[in-house]
Amino acid sequence: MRSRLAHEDSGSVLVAAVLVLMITLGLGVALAATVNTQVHAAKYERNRESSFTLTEASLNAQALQLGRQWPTRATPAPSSCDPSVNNAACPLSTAITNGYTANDYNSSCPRAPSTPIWKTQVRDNVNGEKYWSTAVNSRGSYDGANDGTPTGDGAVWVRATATVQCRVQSIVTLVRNDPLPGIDFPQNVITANFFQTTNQGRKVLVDTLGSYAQPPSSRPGPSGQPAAITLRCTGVTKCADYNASKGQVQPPKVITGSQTSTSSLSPSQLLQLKAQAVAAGTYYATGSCPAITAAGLSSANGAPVYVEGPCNISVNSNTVINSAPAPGALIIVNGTFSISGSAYFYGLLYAVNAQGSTSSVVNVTGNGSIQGLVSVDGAGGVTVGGSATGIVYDSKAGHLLKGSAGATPAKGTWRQLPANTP
Amino acid sequence: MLTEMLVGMVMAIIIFGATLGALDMFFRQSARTDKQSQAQDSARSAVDRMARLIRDGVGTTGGPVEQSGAYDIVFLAPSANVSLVNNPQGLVHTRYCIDASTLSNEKLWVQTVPYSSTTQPAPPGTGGCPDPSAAWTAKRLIARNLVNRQRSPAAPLFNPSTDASGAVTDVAFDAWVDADPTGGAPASELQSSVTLRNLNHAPTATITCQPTGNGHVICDASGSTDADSQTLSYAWQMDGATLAGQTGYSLDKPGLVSGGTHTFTVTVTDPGGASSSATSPAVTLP
Repeated sequence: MRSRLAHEDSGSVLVAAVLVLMITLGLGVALAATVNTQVHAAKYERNRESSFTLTEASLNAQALQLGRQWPTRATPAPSSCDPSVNNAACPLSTAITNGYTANDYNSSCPRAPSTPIWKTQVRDNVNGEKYWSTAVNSRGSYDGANDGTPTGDGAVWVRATATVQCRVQSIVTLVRNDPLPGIDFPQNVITANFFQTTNQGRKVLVDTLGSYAQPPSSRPGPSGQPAAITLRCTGVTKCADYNASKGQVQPPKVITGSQTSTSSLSPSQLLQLKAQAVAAGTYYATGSCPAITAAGLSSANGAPVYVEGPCNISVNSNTVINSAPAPGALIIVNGTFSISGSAYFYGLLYAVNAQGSTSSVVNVTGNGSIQGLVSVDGAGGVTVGGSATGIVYDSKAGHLLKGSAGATPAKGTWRQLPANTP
Repeated sequence: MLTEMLVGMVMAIIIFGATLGALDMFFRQSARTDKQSQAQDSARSAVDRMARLIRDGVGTTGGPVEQSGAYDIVFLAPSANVSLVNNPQGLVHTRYCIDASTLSNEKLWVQTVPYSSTTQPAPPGTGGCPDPSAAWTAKRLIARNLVNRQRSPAAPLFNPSTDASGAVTDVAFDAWVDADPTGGAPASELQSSVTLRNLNHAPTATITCQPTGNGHVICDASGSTDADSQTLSYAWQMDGATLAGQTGYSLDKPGLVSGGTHTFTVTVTDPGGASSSATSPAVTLP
């Protein structure tokens, strides 16, 4: 009996101890659960912020890339860009991810590992549109796809989405490819190191006023002002080699020994024009030359024809490049330009003379004629020797070149989309 | 034996009582924690939403924030389901404010009203929180249990930063949440801050004009600047009349009569729609 009671006493203590242990354990588990909830809340917030910063980086990288290659009908952007897409219109993957190397960025989403960690999409806007809606998703991936103009309105929507540890963030903004008001180009009928004529006749070979412009309706009125032939005259014995007494330059406005720059445009301005030509399909890379036809040498969509060269372009017969109401620009980086026959060039002819020529880089012979402006950089010159008025001033040619400020997000259109926006 | 049994029973009662007491304390604490967690979640959701909307805010002049105070902020934010007629950016006047009529339970309200006029109107009044005027077409209670105003010292919910022009550039949020201000755990602090991404400063227009001897007046507005370094567009007027087709930074106006006097105005506009004008002194042709 004593032994049984003693056994029962020890059992009651055991029960009490177990109860205390369970209570303590329960409190511990509850405390751990509370801490776990707080840790998860902090992790959720950190992942969302990480996703947001990566989204914004992707958006900015895509906008920068658009400044280098604006998406056109000829060169559209891909349907979407992500780290696996290798396309000139997409951001470089390393350019984005090099700045985001923390552990959060190791995976987009462990339960859906095929999800790209960032993705960008370029979609056209409707002209004047300032509000992003889900209708944008189904539009074309180039400027001009939906805004009713063949060349676009200079704006597209960019959407960037990042998924970091399964937290998705999306941002949209309208990106503009704003042209600058214009590139200042020397308003001289000829800008070169030297100028010469090879025709000894009594006739007007260079019309500095535009009195011989075609059609006659484009000729200036009585208030018109002549442009100059501006010559640098560096290292040449005969700088302005023409017969003034025979009226070969009329009105005779010739400036010699000019201290103007040996380059009419700066390298950065040339880069902007090159980018425009690339977008318009009028760019000819080193080693390829344009066809000697009206189509091959005429400007398109306001962009110049940009020839890296080396190309010696010789236009003859009755080829007409550009037109009087729509003059264009031809930029030859390395090479020369000759026009003869009855060919006509309307616009701005700019020879960068990268080959460093000290001879004539632009030659006008026969009945060939240039109506606009001619400019040759460096030590190169211009020779006019045909039977017609070889160069006729047209002030419109001086306002053809537009710069580019690059592509920038438009103020007022930036928007962080609510979660789960399609 | 009886003594042992009595001791055992007393011990059991003590342990049982202590157990009940501990369980009661645990459940009370758990309930308070749940209530506080719910209040925190609600406030966190509200702060996140406020932050996103203010970050998206749009305004053509002076930035998107129209009014700002410690417990009351009004701004223009884009919103879905808004008519875009006369309101191409889909903007909505949005107001967040704290109702402190019940000091131990401050409530966070949001009020909205879209606009649809060609000029951006001023927001409705902010006489109360929520303002009872029907000018605010929608209102919603989005968080309770804030204690910002009853803290000592009071803690502002909104802390805006401004630039030299007075425009709000950043907003920091500091929400204090306490589901049981009379006891229990101390209040929780929820913080966030955003930089306004669409802040747009107005450009500054400059103009110089001079006559030439052939009936022309040449004006130059190339000195116009934009604080955001955006590309500007130009529009010209002569004597108050718009000169169609003139969109460059310079103007060459021909065909003017000798002795005539004219004034020229240029209006520069940035891509965000903010604009500025400058008018030349009177120009008399020789």
